[in-house]
Amino acid sequence: MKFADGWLLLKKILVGIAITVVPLAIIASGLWSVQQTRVNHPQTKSTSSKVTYAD
Amino acid sequence: MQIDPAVRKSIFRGISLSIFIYALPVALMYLSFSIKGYKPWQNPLSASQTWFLHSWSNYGISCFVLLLGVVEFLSGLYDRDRWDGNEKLTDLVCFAFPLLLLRPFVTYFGLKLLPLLLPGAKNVFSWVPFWWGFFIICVADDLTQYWYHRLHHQVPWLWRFHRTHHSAAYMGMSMASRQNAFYTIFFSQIYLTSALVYLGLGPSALLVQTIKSMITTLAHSSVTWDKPFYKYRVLHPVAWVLERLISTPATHHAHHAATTDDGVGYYKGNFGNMFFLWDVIFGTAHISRQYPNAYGISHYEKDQWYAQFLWPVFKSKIEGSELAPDGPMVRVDAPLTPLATSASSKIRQVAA
Repeated sequence: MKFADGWLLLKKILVGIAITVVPLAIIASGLWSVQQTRVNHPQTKSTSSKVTYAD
Repeated sequence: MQIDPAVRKSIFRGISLSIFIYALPVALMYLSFSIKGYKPWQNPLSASQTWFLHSWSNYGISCFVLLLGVVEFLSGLYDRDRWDGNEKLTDLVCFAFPLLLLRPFVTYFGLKLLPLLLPGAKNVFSWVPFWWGFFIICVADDLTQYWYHRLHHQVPWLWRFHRTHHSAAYMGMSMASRQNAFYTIFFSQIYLTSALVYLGLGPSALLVQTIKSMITTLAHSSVTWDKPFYKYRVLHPVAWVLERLISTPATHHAHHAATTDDGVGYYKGNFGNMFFLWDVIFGTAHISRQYPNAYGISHYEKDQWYAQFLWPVFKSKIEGSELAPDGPMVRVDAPLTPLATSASSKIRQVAA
């Protein structure tokens, strides 16, 4: 195995990482946005009691 | 060797469109929640459903592949002339490698590396309803594999990592796993789906992987299950939908043909694995409802199994081969001998 072969493998790995990370970022950010929007939506917000203390 | 400018343009156009396709299931899910006022984090999948999927994914698929292999053996696919010692070793090593080494490697990635890469993100999306998760993973996994596969055909310096999958002069279920080790190890969709499982979409991923394994194994098989759909007129509407939606033996065998652009064989396209729909969307589809007369690579001269499996670490001793130390990146097609064409055709008829 020569240096050129190692470089070829490295390039291949980088292409592989790119086509893994891009879809993952799109889907994960999409799901995160759905979660944030729906959880913060007035109709879906859970009714938790917030305790405040007087000074 | 440079990529053809028209191909380069087509790749960039396709990748741009893919970004929207990846986001589509999530956008549709959001729309559905908004209309119904749905609160998905209240309906987790039952333990019995998960157990069934896990068992079927582990044992059901293994039994299915074994049964299909037996049918292919009995129908005479693996004769001694075609399936010689070198081909046997290539097929068997490629079949065993993912089972013995890749699974532990991917498991390690999922259990040890992902918590380091995505700390605190375990099961954050476990609220995604099962069928929406199924839709998301179907698109994510298979579209990623489409691009991974297509790039290995259309980017000249990537071709030799995928050549082993195309070198056999026959089609059978073992072709599905006949790959160079580096092609298999760096399968992008495995890591993408592992990450989605880590994020909480595990049960959906099990079902997708089960269905995908069945479709891709059957698409590579010499058992041409799709033939009745083309033969009987009443089934033609079903065939029309089926051959555009999923990979069938006819469309995927065309991808493995020894020649291209002859009206049947088309190794320049039909890259889809589970879904053929990607080829239809991105303009790489060729549907003929016929099966090629010869499979493999026209200039293949039986490179040693270890070179096919571990190139570029080990090189082929066949002079002029693409896998040889100073071999060309991509060789042009050689004229097919009448013997190779007729032998391949005979096997196909027996198997059918």
